[in-house]
Amino acid sequence: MAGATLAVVLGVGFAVQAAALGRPGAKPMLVVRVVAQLVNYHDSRATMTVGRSRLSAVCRQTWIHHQREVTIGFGDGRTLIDNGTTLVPTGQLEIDEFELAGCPRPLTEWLASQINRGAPLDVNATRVFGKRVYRLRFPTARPELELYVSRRGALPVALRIASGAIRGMSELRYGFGSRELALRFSEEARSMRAW
Amino acid sequence: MTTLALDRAVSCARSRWRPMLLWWATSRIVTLLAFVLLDALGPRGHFLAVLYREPLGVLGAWDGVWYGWIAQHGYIIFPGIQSNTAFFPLFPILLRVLHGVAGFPYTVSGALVSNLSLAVAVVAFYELGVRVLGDRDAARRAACFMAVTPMGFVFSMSYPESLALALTSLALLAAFGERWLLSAALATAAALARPEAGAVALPLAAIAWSARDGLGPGPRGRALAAVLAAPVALATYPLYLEWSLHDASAWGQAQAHWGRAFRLSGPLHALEHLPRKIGSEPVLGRDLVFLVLYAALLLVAARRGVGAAWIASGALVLGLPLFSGSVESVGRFGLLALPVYWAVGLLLRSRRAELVLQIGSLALLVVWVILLPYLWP
Repeated sequence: MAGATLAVVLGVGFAVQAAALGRPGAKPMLVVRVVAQLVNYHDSRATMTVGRSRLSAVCRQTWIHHQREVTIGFGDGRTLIDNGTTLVPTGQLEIDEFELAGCPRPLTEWLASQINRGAPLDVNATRVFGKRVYRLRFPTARPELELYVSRRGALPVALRIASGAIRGMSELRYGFGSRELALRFSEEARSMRAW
Repeated sequence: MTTLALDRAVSCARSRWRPMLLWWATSRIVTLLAFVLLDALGPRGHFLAVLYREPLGVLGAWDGVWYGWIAQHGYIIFPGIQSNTAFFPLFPILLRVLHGVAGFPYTVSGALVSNLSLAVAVVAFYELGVRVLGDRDAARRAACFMAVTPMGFVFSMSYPESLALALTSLALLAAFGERWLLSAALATAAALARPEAGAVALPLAAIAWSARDGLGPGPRGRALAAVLAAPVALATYPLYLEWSLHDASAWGQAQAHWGRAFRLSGPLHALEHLPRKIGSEPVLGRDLVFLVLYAALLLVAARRGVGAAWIASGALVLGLPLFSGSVESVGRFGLLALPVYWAVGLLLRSRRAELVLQIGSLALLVVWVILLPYLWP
C-alpha cells in the first residue's frame, strides 16, 4: 500500500510539473548554449563600425571590492567603465559602443534577462564575416541587438545594433585568457587608432 | 436533523475561528495599506520599473518577479548566472492556472493565493495546536500570532510561504484524523511549494507512530506513505528538471549563484563571514536576529512540553538553510517552523501582554514593508 501510494506521489508530482510547466523550446536552449560558452571568458575584443567610424575595443572583467567591474579600452584612447549599475561616461553612443564590445558578462546577463522575461526570439541561419552562424534577434528589446553565434560552438562572433539613431556592427573574439595576451591586444587596440 | 447538526458545527467553528480570522483580516489590511504607501511614495530605483506600472505591483517584488517569470515562461537554467530553477514549482503552477482560468495578472494571482492561504493556515494551525498542546487558549494565541508575525509581510506578497504553511498544517491535521491519503497528498503539495516543508515528515512520523496500535495493516501502509510523501515529492523536482532541462542538479546549481552552496561546514561559513558582510548587507543583521529569536522560541517550546519530533522539524526548518553558508532569508524560511508560534502562545499569559505583542508585531509588519526596497525578505 505504502509503495503504491509513494509511486503515485512520484508519478503525479512529476506529471503535474511536466504538464503545467513543460520544457523550453529549441530557441531558448540555443541561448543557454551561448551563455554556457560566454561564462568561460572574462574578456573579449571587438572591431566595430559605429556610424562611419571604425574602432577596436578590448573588454576586461575584474572584481573590485567584491563588485564586478567591466572596463572597455578603445583604440582611440577612450575608456568605458561599468560597475554593474552605472556606465561611465554615459551617453547613447557610449551605450551602443558598450553593447557592441560584446563583453561576456553583460552580454550573458542581457541574454538571460530577455529569455527570463519571455521576450520573443527570432533565430535564422545565415553567414557573417564568412562564417556559418545563427542570427539571434529579440525584436522587442531596446536597443535591438542582433547577435550572431557560430553554428558549431554557439560562441558569439558578431553583434549588430539594428535600431535607434546609431547603427553599428562589431566582429567579436573571445579567448585570450592570459594577462600577457590581454596586454598585447590592448597595445594592438591602441595601434589601431588610425582606422 | 443532519442539516441542523451541520449548522451547529459550522456556527461553533465560526466562533472558535473568529479571533484568528479577525487578526488575519487586520494584519492583511495593515500590510496591504503599508504596500499602498510604499507603492505611492517608495523609491523607484530599487525594483524593476514594471512593478510600479500596476496598482500594488510591489507585492510581486524580489522573488515574486521570478515566480511570475516561471509561471509565464517555465523553467530554464543558465550556467554561471542566477536562474529560475532555484524556485520550487507549485506556486508558479498555481499562478499559471489562475491566470489561465480567471485571467488574473500573475502578481494579483500571487498575492491572492498568498493572502487566502494565510487565512486557511491560521485556522488549520489553530486546530493543530489544540491537538498538539491540548490547550485551546495557547493554540488560539499561537494562531493569532501567526497572523501578525513580523516577517509575515511575505504572506501578502507573491511568495509561497503561506501556501506551504497552510498545506503543512492541513497535512498534519489530516494525519491526526487518520486520513492518511489526504495527509500524503497535502504533504506532497507542501513540499512542492517550499523545500523546508519536507520537514513535515518528522511530526507526521510521530503522529503515525503514536497511532500505530490502533491501525490495521492497510492504514499502517497509508500512514507510512503519508510520512514519506514529502521527501518523495521533493525528489520529483530534480526528476522534472532532468526531463525538462537535462540537468537534475539545476536547483543546487541555481542556489550556488544566489551565494548558497550546501556543505557540512555551511553554518560555520555563514557565521564566520557574517561580521564582514553585515556592513554591506544589513538584511543579514535582521535575519540573524530572527534566527536567534526563532531558536530561543524553539527551546521554549521544548521546555514547555512540545514533542521532540515537532522541535526537530522546527530545528530542521531553521538549520538546513544555514548549511548553504548564509543566514540570508532565515527570517522568512523560519516562518514554517511551527513550534515557534506555539512557544509564543505558551509564553503569553495575560490578555494585555498578548495585545501588546500583537500590536507591536503589526507595527513591525509596516516597518518591514516600508524597508522592503532595502531589506529583501
